[in-house]
Amino acid sequence: MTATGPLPGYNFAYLNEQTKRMIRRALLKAVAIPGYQVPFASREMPMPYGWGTGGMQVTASILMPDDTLKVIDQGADDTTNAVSIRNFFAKTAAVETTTATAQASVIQTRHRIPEEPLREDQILVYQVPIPEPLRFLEPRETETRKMHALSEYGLMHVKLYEDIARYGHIATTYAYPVEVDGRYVMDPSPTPKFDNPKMDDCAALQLFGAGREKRIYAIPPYTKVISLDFDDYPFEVQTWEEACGLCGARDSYLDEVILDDRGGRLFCCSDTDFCEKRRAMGYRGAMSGEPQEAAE
Amino acid sequence: MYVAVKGGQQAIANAHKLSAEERRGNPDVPEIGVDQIDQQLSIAVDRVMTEGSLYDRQLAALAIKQARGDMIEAIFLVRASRTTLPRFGYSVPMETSDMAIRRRISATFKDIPGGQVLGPTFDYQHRLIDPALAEGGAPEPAETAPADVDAQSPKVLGLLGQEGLMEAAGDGDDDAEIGDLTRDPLDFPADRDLRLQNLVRGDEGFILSLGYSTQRGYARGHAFAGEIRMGEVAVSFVPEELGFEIEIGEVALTECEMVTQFKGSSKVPPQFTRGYGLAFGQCERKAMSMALVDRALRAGELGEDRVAPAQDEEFVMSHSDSVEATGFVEHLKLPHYVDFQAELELVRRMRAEAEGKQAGTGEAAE
Amino acid sequence: MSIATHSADIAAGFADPPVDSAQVFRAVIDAMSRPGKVVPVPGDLDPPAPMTPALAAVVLTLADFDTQLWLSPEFATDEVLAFLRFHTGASLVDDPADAAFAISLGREKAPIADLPRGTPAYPDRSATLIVQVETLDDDGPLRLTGPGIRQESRLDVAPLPEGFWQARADAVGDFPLGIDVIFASRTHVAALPRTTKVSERRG
Repeated sequence: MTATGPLPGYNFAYLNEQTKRMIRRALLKAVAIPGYQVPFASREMPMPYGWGTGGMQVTASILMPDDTLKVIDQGADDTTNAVSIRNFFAKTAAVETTTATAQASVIQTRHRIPEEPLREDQILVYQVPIPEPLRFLEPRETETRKMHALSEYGLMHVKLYEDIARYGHIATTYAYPVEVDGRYVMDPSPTPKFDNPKMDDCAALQLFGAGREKRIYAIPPYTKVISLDFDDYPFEVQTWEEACGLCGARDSYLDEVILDDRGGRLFCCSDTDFCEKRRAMGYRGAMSGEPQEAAE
Repeated sequence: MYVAVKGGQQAIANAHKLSAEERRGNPDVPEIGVDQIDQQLSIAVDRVMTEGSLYDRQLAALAIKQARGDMIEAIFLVRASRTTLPRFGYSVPMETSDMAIRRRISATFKDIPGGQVLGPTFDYQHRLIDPALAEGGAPEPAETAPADVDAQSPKVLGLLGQEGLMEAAGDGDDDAEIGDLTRDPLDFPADRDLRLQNLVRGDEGFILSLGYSTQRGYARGHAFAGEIRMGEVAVSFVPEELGFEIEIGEVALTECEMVTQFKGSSKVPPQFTRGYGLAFGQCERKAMSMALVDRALRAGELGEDRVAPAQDEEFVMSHSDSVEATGFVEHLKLPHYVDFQAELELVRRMRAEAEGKQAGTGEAAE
Repeated sequence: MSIATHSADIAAGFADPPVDSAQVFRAVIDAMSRPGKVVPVPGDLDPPAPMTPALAAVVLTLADFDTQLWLSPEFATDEVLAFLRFHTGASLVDDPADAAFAISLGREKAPIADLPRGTPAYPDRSATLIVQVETLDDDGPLRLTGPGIRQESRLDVAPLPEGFWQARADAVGDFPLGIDVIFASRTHVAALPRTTKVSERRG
């Protein structure tokens, strides 16, 4: 079969049309059953499993030539795997790419949700390593599938409650389980729990692809997404005493960078676009090397 | 002023160049050709085709060259290439009893109709490094016997079957739809067709070790190599527009049928049961290991207790694929700053709490 | 291929399948993600009657030889059958219970009760009903709520057979089991995933 994509010898967006149709059918089911993991016949991609092949297959199946694609890993556009995936789609789909959250129509992400609120005309595609929220409590697929079918999520609550009994609080900091639209318990991918509230009632469509585990799931726009908790131990997100050393933000997720072997540390926004945008607006942090004249 | 680490793009480009340089090695040494790999590393090519699920010697040889001899990497390259190929149709089931035999042995009978054919094997070779091979040179020609065009080599297990001592091959339902792991996601419990597909694609080392474990008591049963055969088998296809079968080529296969004694159950009388292995080219170790694991995975169907790893289909099938496994293990190289930051914060908090508690108890004791 | 010798009689499919189907799919997933949103379907197909361009685009985008189609009697003209067979290779089934996609005209009674709704373990093994209608408007007598909808959305869709809404409500009453519905007019699509609650507001 002749291929007609921008990369000679390959179809538009790499996958052949049969494969895209199969993934598209799975995506529609995923949207129709929020939080349910739809099995799909994941293909080998030219990147290794565990490196975003699920997200890439979803992106390849939704991408149009006039899309603008942003790819982030750990919130950053310039991490090597994000660069590699962005280059892949620039090459195979000839789409425009961007690092600006606001300019992207499709955002593929690993481990973060952008700080800037997403819009209705955007789609967020998550790379998911282990889609099954119950997997570390029960390794068998036959068992976890039954648990989802029966809404039998007691095991998860027991796990969280054991944390409280042992540590006085819930000790899950990322991949913190959520309940979608009052039915399915879902793994938000290994995003920090800081990002969980952004999933709730989000204007954008959120799609999740797990290539090696062969599952696709979705959260439609404006859907209720609740982080599991208890009345007396309500869900709470991480907070920092520090502000971003570069842009001074106090409301973003911070990475900790070790500067030297004498304990020197810098906290800075993990979302590089968010940080750069703030700095362009004149905000400065304590370690920006410039006087901190806040723009406010 | 602190500047965040940048330059992923340039770093990747440079790493690719460096890797290509390393692949080539010293330019004073002649470059290896794909034909040389195909002809002189033929068993490597066979393995890449088998686990890559694609019968294309040249492509597999090229993958080995590109992967610098890293077999799992080469298999991965072939799989990724396979992804882009559209499917035109399905061949007619191949008839391995019509194989043009290059090797055929049975460990269960001293002589068999059609004879034992040792063929090109490492068996019975003294594994002494051969310094002369370093120099190269033409090997001594092997003796050939005149081809016996009438020779029939019936399946050994079929001979046992005539006595009623051997279970029938398969469930006898030729019309049953055959699953396809590459088209439908794996689902448990999995039928034997899917299990066999999974084992063929599975990592040779993993399947070998699992097969070995069944010999050491982790799943009952002593297996015999009923028959191992290797050679060329014709592939036929029925084009929609013709409506009749045409031969489109041949593939080299290694087939292994293992025989295991079975004490019988409430439903089945005592008899011998089968384990089946099949691989492209000459992959005998793989075919034998696969046959052992296939038999072990039939525990449920035969009413045996599932007690060993090799009998646990979820465990075996979910972890056999080297491309899946290597990807996920190696993904630990990817940055995890964000999750690690979350853990760092948690551990600091828990330590502070623990220290607070200790300080508290200390004061109370004073 | 032999079928190609008849292709002169068969209306053309997508001019650029990878790009056209990508654009159509985005329209469909947009509609499925935002129930009640009436989304234009790009493309310039000229399928045989009674099939509309939007419906043809949706089917060509989603169906292939791995999917089973059930077609309603009025929809399944010889030309339509030839068109779908040629462009999708999908197998046509007589029993709606075997269908991945069931296609009917709005004025016909759709076999909603007979369509597969999936199982508790696999609710995705369920059918999508595609109904071809004349009117599709995002302001109308139907009030929709559920995932994908900010407060509520409105929809006007016609014609539909007597009892359609009751049959659909029955089919989606046992979530996560259910069917999903795509409406296609001449040029637009709208969708109702199983999660959407529909109430009729008169006046």
